[in-house]
Amino acid sequence: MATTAKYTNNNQGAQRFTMWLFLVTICMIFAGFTSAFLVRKGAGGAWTHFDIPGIFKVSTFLILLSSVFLQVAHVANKKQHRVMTSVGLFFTFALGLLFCYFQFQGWKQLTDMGIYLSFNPNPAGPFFYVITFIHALHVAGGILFLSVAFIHSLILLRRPVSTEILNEIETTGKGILRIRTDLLILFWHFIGILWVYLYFFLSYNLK
Amino acid sequence: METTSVIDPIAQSGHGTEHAEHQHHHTETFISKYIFSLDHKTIGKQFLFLGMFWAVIGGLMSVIFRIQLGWPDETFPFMERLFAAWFTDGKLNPEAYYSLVTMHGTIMVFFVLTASLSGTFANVLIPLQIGARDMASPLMNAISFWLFFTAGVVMFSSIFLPTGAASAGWTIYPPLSALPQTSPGSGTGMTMWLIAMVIFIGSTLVGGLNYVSTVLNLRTRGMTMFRLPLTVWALFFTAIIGILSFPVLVSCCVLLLFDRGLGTSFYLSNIVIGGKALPYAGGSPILFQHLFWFLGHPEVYIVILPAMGMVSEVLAVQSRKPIFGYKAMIFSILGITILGFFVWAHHMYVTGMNPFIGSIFVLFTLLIAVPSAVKVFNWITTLWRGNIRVNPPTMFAVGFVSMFISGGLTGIWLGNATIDIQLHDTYFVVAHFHIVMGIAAFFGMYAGIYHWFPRMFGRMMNDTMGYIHFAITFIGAYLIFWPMHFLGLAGVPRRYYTFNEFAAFSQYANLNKVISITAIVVFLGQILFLINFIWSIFKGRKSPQNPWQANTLEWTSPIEGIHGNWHGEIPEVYRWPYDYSRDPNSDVDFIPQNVPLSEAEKKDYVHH
Repeated sequence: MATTAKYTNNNQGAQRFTMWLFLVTICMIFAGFTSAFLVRKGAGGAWTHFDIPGIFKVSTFLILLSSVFLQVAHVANKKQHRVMTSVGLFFTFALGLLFCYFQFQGWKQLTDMGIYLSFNPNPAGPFFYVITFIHALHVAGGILFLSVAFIHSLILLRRPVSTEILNEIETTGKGILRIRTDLLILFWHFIGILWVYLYFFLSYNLK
Repeated sequence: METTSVIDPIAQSGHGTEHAEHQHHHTETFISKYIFSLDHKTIGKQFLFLGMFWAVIGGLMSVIFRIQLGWPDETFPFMERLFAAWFTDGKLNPEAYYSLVTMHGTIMVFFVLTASLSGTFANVLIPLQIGARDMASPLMNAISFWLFFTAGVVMFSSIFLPTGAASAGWTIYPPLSALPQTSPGSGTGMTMWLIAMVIFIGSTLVGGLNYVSTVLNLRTRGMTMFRLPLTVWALFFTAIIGILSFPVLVSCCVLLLFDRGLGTSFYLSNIVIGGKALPYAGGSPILFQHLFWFLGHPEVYIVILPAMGMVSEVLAVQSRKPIFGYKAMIFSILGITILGFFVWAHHMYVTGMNPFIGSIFVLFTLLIAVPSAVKVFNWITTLWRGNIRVNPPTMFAVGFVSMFISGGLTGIWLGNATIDIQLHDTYFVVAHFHIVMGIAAFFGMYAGIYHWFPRMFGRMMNDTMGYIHFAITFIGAYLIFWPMHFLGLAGVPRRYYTFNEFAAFSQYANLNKVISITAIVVFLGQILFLINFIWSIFKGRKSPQNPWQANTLEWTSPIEGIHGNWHGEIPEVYRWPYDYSRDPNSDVDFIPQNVPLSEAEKKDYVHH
């Protein structure tokens, strides 16, 4: 990137606000899916009732635990505790991956139960697959951002932080990863809460 | 910015340009300055140029299918030489006809009137009019444009597929769009349409998040929400509508992609093609329509609101009067935004919906007439006894009001389920939506381009060519679409390739010829606009700092356009943007927003 005119653009708050707006768009995507689900269910006709495999309880626990670790990383970032930041980010990252793995196992169990995605003569099962799959895609996006933050924190571990940056942190109240973790906690906690909502919504409506 | 005189705004607006800021160390290359630029003004121009490219493609497509509708019995060997893939023995193929109609709708609604209209003016105007250095996130802004570009590449390449582009109409109703066996265009063409649209939605959302965040967070000192120009209010609400409605189209397209590729049956049930029953069961095509129109209806407000905002600003500036009912304008935009989410099923009266539910949607649809009428009333009263300057932006802004009234009135007809059931899928609907959202939005866009061209390129457009362009477009648009109302009342269905087989409809053959000839003339008129546009960029008369003597902040920023928008401090705002003809004793009939209140004004200034 070329260096352009230097000017102060106070957009730290704007970036956090933009993240909130982004969460609104994700809400609307899932509002679309869940209303389609309810409309189709209410319209009558073929509708399978089934119990969601217990393995999804494990993934619910995993994603909530990962949020705890991210909170630890966020606080450590604000307090400029570089080791704890990296450790927290690593466990969030690992638990996120584990969540995706358990979702995949859950889909396999569902297929073994005879609830298929393709050519299933009723859409209850396919709805479950699509909604949870699109949610998992969002988790995957979060993992991508987590890995960027994690690598950033590793680089900072190896390299001493310059006094210039330290002064900036001192004056602006930002962490060593700048506002990276501020945006991450918003997104990651949100997709965790979204999963809890989807889990209860789906298990209640499919029972 | 310490000038306090009310009567000297011109000196004010040119102020500060000599504070040459030598701390700017530009090491920009051609690529970073013009191609992958992060400057909102450049990104706005990129949206404009790409939108013009798409408008030419979309317009050309309509000319080709109008030739088929005007002269269904003739052969056109020269057209076959130009578009060999679409013609057989000098006649347009029926499949190509449907692809052209589909792509014309998609390109015009999404690529031109959604992405380019909002993209151009939100980018150029929001930071300049609210007094910001740039967008909240210049990077996201650039990503928004390049996603739009990518979506365009995918959509454009689908035109050259051997099986043709998508052909299920711009509303892509399943099962036609879901099953490749149903038509050649429903094969790869449809898949590429869906992929292009998902990328396109990404572009719209990234852009929209940024616009909202910028308006709420980066206003200059003194720029309260109720001092924002109506352009910014309109673009702000447009972005909010996009944020709330486009994600639902993602859900809608995702379910359709699963139906197409992975054998699910969300929208499909009990289908027999060629005597063979397909294994799909349990889905509902009506579900698709609900999801689609939950976006599709707010989408028409995404198209029209920016045009409304620009027309409000242009009319106030060019009639040298404060906008009539500033807050009424804002709250009517808010009213349209909210009501727009509760009317989607008026597109679905003929789907066998419960008449009681239908009547609720009739009620909400007719309610939208209230804020719309408030806006029309306010535009006319703004013009009333104004010191109107006649120039191309004024002409197009007044033309917009005319089109919006004509098209809006037929909207009241179609909003009634009882009339709609009769007129559904006829040319009456085609006439209605082309006038009220197509032509009207184009007029708003032209008003905006003629008005802000000096701000974008530092030169003026040619007025004579502008008048000819206006005359051709205004007369031509009415000549094309007015007769279509009568075709529709006579029951002529839309989407038909030819009416030769129907005695009842073939009597309108001459009328269809007139419409087609006019369509070709209007298309050529737009080429004149393009010539004017490109010629003026290089050879137009140099623009003064504030060519229209307008109050808004964009005319205080150096007209040549600098990164960061203002040398030195960003101007502070002391008043609303519509102080025109305020002081009858003054020689100057405008007071820019960055001029502090005079002692006399401080006593009785009513606007915040």
